[in-house]
Amino acid sequence: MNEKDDQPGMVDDTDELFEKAVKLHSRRLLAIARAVVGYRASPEDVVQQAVLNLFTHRHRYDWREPGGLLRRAVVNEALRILRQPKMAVVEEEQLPGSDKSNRPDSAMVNREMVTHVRQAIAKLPDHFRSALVLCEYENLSYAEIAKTLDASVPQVKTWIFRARRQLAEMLREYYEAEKKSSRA
Amino acid sequence: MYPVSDDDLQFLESYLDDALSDQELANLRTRLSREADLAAALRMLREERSQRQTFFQAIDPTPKEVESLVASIHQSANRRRWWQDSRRLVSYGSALAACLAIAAVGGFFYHAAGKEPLQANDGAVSAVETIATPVNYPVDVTDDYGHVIAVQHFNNARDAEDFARDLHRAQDRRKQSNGGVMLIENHDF
Repeated sequence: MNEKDDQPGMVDDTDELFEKAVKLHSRRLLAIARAVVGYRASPEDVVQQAVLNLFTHRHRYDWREPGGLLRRAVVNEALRILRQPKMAVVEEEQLPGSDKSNRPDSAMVNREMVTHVRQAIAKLPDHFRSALVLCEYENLSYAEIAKTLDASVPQVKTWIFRARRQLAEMLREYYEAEKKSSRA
Repeated sequence: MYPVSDDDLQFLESYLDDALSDQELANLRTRLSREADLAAALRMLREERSQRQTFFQAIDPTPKEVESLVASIHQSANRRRWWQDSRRLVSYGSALAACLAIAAVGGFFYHAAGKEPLQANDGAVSAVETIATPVNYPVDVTDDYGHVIAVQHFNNARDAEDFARDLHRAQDRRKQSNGGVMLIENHDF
């Protein structure tokens, strides 16, 4: 145990670094949680639980570069929640992207397409979805994704490839219908 | 659907993920300039990727949502910190109380053993008593040559002195009789 653990009531360097890390990474962590849990749980709860789990044992970790640590914690917490048999389904209206008025770039976002992509991504196996989100949202390398998901690099490459193919298959009908309507 | 094989598709995806080595990159560029199908597949993959990016843009939380989350985490972390500190203080207090209790009980038994003998249920004297009251007054019994032939123990000094005096007197009397000395048994003539 770290010596700082023996000083009750003190807000030490670790606590300050933790606070900074939370402020710095919350936006991306929340987005990752949203993409991974989809409609099946509250992403805010996932992030909060993951971060508080780390906080409980905060003196064990190096908080100078906490991005990977926080990302791994959130993904693992999201996957843990998805493994649970019963979960409350979050209503679609509460998810981001639904409320256009709050978003300055809403005109650029095709809401219907977002909905279709979201539904398709939600149907992917959990590990496929997690790997895809880390690759395309977080722009992580295959090696970093493998470390985050505790898998091998070839495994991660396979997951991402299959996720993309399955998504493409699911969205093909939508894309084709959209093309037809745009031509007409 | 795609005009190329799965291996080529995976190769193109790796290219879009920026995961190819320089050698592979050069090889792909050469092939792209020669193979129209490969170039077409790359365009399709880019289109699919841009569609997915619309979703990823949509899930990006607003500053307000992030602020709310950070505040919530901060509040929960403070609560957890308070709870951890309290628990630590309680554990210190419990350890101190346990030490005091052990010391008090030990002290009680220590003093109780010094003052009164402990009695077993059947009334037998316990070992504490035999150790606590070992009063003993030995008196050596010697022969005519001064050799110790026995030791007689007494519980008090007075009995031991009486015995020693009587023994000494008896031995003197025997010595006198053995030496032909007349003993005065009675002085009433």
